[in-house]
Amino acid sequence: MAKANSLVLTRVLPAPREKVFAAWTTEAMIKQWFCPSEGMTVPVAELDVREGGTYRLVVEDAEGKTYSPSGIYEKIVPNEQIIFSWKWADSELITRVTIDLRDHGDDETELTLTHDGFPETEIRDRHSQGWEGCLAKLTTVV
Amino acid sequence: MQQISSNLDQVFFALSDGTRRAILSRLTEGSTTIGELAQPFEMSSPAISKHMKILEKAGLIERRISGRQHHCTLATGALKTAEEWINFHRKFWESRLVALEDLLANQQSP
Repeated sequence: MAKANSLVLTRVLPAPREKVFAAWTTEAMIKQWFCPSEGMTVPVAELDVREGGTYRLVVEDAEGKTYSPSGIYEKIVPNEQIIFSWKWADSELITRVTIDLRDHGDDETELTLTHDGFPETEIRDRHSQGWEGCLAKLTTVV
Repeated sequence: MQQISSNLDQVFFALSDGTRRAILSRLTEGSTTIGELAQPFEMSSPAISKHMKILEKAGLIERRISGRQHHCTLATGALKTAEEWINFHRKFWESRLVALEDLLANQQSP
């Protein structure tokens, strides 16, 4: 059931892993493809590509409405894997995106994108259990 | 996006627990009482009741009280919200990956 709430997409891209990695991790390149359709632009792409670094993207449509995802890079293995948290500016929900890159024949790359719906809420669940235990203990000593 | 995200935290929080997912699976077979729902789980009734409250708050179940019996029914609206959220992202990423593919293809053959 956990899998049913995550999204997995696989694509074979016509470039070696180094180029695909660069397309995700350089500001000039991500601005060229990170908008979904004609008439949309990416006016802001701030990528601090290192583990613990943050990113912020702003996608703007023809009417000037903006969509802005941001997050933290959790793991970076050059030309192989990028894991980052994902939060829309208008939502409290924090999710996670994993990009895996693999060689596919000559000069091609198989990209797998996994977007997990609720890693953060699981952590919160564990935290809340921890707190409940602590508070139960606290009530016995006060 | 804003409308979709409003209730999502609670829905995904509710779905992040194995016991609660099992309760929902059981309810897909039809509505039942809390007593019957609790049977397969080795849990006290306050513990089950806590799970039910979280599911209820997320809008995943509905509770109807008749006499001393609490009847539970699966409410599909909230699950649909979660599904819409996933579909939104599926379309979002699919369109971007097409754009990425185009960009890389154009670079290969200048």
